[in-house]
Amino acid sequence: MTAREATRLLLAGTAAVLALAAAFDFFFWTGRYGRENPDAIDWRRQQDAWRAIRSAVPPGEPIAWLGENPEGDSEFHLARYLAAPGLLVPAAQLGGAQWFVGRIPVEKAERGGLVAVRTLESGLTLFRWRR
Amino acid sequence: MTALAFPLAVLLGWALVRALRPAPESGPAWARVLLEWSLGASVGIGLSSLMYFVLLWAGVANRGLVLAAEAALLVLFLVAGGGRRRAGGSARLSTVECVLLPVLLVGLVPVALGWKALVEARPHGQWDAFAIWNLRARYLAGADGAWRHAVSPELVYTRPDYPLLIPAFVAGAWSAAGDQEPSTAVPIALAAIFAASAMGLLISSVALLQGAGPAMLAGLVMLSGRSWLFESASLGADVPLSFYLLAALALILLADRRRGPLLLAGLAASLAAWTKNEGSVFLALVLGLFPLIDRGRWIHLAAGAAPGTLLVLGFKLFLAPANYLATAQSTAGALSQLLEADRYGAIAKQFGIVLLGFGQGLFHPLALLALVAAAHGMRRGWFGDPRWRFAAALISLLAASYLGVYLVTPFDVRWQVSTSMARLACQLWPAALLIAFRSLRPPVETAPPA
Repeated sequence: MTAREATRLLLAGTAAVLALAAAFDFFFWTGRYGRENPDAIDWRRQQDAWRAIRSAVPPGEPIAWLGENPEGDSEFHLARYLAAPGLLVPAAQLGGAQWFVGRIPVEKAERGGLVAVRTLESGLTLFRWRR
Repeated sequence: MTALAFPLAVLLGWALVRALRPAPESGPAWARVLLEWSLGASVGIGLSSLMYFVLLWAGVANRGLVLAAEAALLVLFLVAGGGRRRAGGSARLSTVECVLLPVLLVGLVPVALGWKALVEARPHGQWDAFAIWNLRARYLAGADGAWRHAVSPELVYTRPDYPLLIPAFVAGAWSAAGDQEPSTAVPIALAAIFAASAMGLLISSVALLQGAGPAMLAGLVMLSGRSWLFESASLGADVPLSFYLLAALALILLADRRRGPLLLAGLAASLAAWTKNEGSVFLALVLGLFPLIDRGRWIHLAAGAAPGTLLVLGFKLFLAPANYLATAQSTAGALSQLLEADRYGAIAKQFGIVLLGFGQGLFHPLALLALVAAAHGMRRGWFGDPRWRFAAALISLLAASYLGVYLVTPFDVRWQVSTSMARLACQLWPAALLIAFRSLRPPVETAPPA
């Protein structure tokens, strides 16, 4: 084996060992990532809440999200995902909707035409207005 | 029926790939087998997604019908592929390769365990996964025309114009199950298949082009790309797109005088377009630039791309709302933004952050790539190789198109680069590795495919 071949082998071997170290580093990093970035979403509770909403609202009835700037609100996008296949839209865009859901205090919503209020375990509140 | 969705799609893709024989006859048998399965798995998933969406759009979506169509195509491809078993080149590994192989296999174990930990921590994926991709999948799997919600203009903030390869496949598997709460196992398994396919395809294509030693080193360098591994566990569409970009380029580099590899390359490029909008730019570049290196066989590439391209065009013309670049930005506004120096600064700064964060310190993939390049040296005439130049130009132009979008975006550019640039880098990573390894000198100089 020439010195040049030996150097090449040494360089390739070093790369392989460092890559192996990177693989183990990834493994330990994922453990740290999980601890330092816990999933803030309680998926089971949220899914239960949306199951309750879907069972309370007749199929096909649109539901609107009450809240300010819903498109910039992560909570809205999470709710939209869990509400699917129903299409959850911001309340401002659904004037004729009977059903509204959101994370707002009940007393704020208690004004004319309110016929049903249901506060869910997840903290979401479901409202129904008379048309 | 859900249990059938994955194996049938994978077998369908494998049978098509095998019938079109993408690997050169002279390559080692293990690399050909790995290439056929890696390519077949994700191409089959793409085909299954195309079929499900076409039937949905036609109003006859029925998982039984999709499975029957897939089974019929499978039989067709198996018959077309025949029973041929080709003798390959020598499968004997050199001493160095015998050392590298166990290192690679050992390295896969902690990566797989870490990946599993990530998806267990976020079973619905990161924000893009549930707010964009699996939200669409839930609509597509819904009853009574709910699938049209997937392209509703109400979803403006989460891009209703995005193509639907991932959602349509996931929806197909979910609708077969008929559960009220769709299982997270489907998107997780899909992400695992795309990640494993990309790894397998990179290793096998480098083995066929450069030899087994460089292939194992390519696999090891890929393992050091932390961002890409993380992104694949995020359950988004960027790693699937990275697979299709890699597949199209690998097949073009591998193509000899047969038409099969180019038909598959065209199909892979069109599946990229069905995965994300960036894939449409890639498809246009592939079809637009290929005549510069081989005008006579462009037709094979275009024929392979035709079915996917027609669906993407139909989707964009008749279903999808306009993209935000068309609705929220004027030509004058875009042109004036091109002259804003601070936009370039913000993009460059984020590029540095993404590049540094792609790996970790001493184990950074670029450091490993530099070591491998120093060990091998550059291939004779690498820069003059028209196919290498084509592949490198394609990826460079695609990256330039990303830069162009950042420059003209109507959104706050700092927000947009900070939330998307790492994912865009992941899209290009496997293809960039293939191009890098193709420029190196193989242990034994081999002529590129004719």
